[in-house]
Amino acid sequence: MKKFRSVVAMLLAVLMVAALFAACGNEPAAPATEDTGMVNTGDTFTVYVWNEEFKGFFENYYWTEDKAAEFDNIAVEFVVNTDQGGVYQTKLDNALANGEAVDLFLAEADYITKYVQSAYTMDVADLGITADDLAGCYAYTLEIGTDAKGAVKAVSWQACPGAMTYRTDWTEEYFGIAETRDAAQDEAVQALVSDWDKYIETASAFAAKDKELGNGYYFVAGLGDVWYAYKAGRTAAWVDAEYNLGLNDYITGYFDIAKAIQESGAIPANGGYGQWGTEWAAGYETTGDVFSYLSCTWHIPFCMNTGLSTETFWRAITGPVGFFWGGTWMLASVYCDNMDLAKDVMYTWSCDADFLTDWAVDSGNFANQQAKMEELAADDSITMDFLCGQNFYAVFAEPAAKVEMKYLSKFDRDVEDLYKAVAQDYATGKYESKDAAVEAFKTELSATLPVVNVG
Amino acid sequence: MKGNAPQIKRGRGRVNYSRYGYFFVAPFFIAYFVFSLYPLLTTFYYSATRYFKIGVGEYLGPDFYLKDGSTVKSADFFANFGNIDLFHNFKDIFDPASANSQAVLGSFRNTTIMWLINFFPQMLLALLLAAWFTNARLRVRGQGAYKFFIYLPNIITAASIAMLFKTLFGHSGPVNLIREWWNNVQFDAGWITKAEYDAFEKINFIREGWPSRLIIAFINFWMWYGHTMIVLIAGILGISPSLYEAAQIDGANNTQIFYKITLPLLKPMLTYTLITSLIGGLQMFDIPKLISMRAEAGLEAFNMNQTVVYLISERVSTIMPDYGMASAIAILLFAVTAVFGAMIFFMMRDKDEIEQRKKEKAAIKAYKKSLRGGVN
Repeated sequence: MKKFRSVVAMLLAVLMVAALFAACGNEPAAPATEDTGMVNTGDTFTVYVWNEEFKGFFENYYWTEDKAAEFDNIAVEFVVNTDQGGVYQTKLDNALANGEAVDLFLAEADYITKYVQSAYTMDVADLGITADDLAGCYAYTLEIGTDAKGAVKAVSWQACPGAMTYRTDWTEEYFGIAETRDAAQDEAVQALVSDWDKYIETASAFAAKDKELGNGYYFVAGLGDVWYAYKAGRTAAWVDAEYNLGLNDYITGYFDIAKAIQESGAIPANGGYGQWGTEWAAGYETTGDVFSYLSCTWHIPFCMNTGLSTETFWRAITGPVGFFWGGTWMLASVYCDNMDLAKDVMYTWSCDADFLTDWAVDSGNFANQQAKMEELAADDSITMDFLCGQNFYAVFAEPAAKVEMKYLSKFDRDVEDLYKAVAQDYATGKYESKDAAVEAFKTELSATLPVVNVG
Repeated sequence: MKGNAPQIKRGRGRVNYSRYGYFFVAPFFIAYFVFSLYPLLTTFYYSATRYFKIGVGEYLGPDFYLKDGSTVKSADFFANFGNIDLFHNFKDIFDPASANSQAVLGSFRNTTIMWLINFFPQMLLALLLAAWFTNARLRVRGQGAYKFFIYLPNIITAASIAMLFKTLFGHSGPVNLIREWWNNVQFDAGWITKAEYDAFEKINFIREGWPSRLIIAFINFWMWYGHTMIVLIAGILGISPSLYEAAQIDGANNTQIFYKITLPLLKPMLTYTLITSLIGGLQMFDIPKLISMRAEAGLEAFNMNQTVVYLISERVSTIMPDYGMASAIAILLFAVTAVFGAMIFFMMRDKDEIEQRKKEKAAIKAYKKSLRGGVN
């Protein structure tokens, strides 16, 4: 027994010392970059996603029997990892770092730069998609997917300009604008919200009128909506290449807007309905209590038009500012072992004008093909029932051409998460001055992301 | 003296099977060493380093800090041995000027407050219920049904409960509807003025500081009091009923029985409950994480209900995870738990037993001494 005890003690001691040398392993090897041609040895086509949106499109529009037969009926696997708490990225990063056979994965605008800049994604030229093929896409979607060396790594099937959707059945009561459900009503409402000052004025007027009427309605769902519209006008990146924080008057101006909207009562207390919450979604319905949403091309079909409401009363206008909201890009990983299929998927879903137009019209989405979308915008016969007969493409075609995505950084999501929280506190009166709020933001940021120089 | 294991008597056909026990237990220990102990030890290691993940598959570190604040690669550890500052991260945590310090110490404060608010009512209620359910004189009927419903919250998943309470205390939830109704009642009855009536606003309680703390504490209390009660009932049932009978014959009432017999004999069980509750409480994570989101709650409210493990999880889920600081916070949590655990053990020690053991040891010592030097 004594001998056993001493053996175990020695073992533990050795283990503790061995832990010190844990770092002396080899660093994870960066992937090889030599050109191996088109690799097609995989037996499963693996796609990493965080929701079922693309899976639905893929299965309903793309993966027909003929297409499947073309690729020998290969098994297609969608690995769904939720985006909450960064789980999707963690799992994806682990898979890539371990060299797992991830063929295609999706990424959103607020963290795509991390993948575009990494060595783990393929240049689409290596897959056989040329710049000519991509000529039809909206320029900004390609800009985002291009890395520092000019290689396009990410392509998208959609363009996501934003718009403001409003309820036509309340304008009479609150603003005296007749419910005609046509361009005249749109113009009248747009005149009320054509810039931020007017937007805040109208929001306050709405709130005051609502107090009178006692309906318990709100002008917009919450600060989350307002932020997405406001941040598109940013004139500096959140964090530049030298890790410096880029705050300027435009960005801190958001505090004032948030405070004005919160204090007027135009949104529910404590910053309003959080995006993607049940109350936020409940506002789309007939019985909802929200007058307008700062929406976008995928928000209307994917969120608002869920078919639960039997009546339609929403129409879309440009709103206070042209903005964009997210968007999903496809990237091929360097470990792709079904390159022909990957190429076909990426080509069809970003360059095939006819396919994309059919998909767009059928599903009520806005495709990433500039010429075709402008054609549809000019076509008066295209109407969308959900928008009370409005031409969905006419609303978005102009803003889409104007979107600029110059100021993205990979820190966007984390920094904005913090910024929104501070803005909400300022709006609810927890800081005496903007400077105090900015200081608090910088302090908290330096703790959460120590690499950033908050200066 | 050798233990009670069957002895090997060579040549007489008796076999010692005791070593096979080790083989059976070995798989657990191997799995434990590899998957629990080794990561634990590497956490100690990382807590002394700077270690970031800066891209897909790209890492910065782990590097050791030198006394002047700069860093050096871990391979050069022995070369700079005299200069290495192993406690750099910990100094940062306790440095009042550092932003990190506010976040970390704040999270400890939150965790402790929420645990204390949860724990004392939970213990009291569990003790009370356990006393009632084991009381022979009281003879509560339908005990099985009571115990089932009391224990039920523990079985429901944390996600469902969080969803439930978020809706309950949310903007359009029942609590706000009742407040609105009460506001109307007050106004109709003329107890408040029109101005006060108009000033009414629905509040999302999850997004306020103290209300969210109380809600989280309440949820934990509600989830765990059933478990604590069951454990205490088990403890009470282990007390010999003859003691109770003797007490009753001597004319003790319920309160006296409880304080003089049940509680002292329940001490080991109470120690167990205290320790497990302490560990669980300090590691509280699921409920705060599901209920509170920073972008929605506002910074101030969020900083009032972020717990330590939640903070650690946040530090490793940003775009540039900070493994060094996260490990340091984890080690700090370990130290705090160990200290409090030791304190609890010390307070709950059985003084009589310790006295007795001391006397036994002294007697043995005296006997041995007498053997050696007293045979004159």
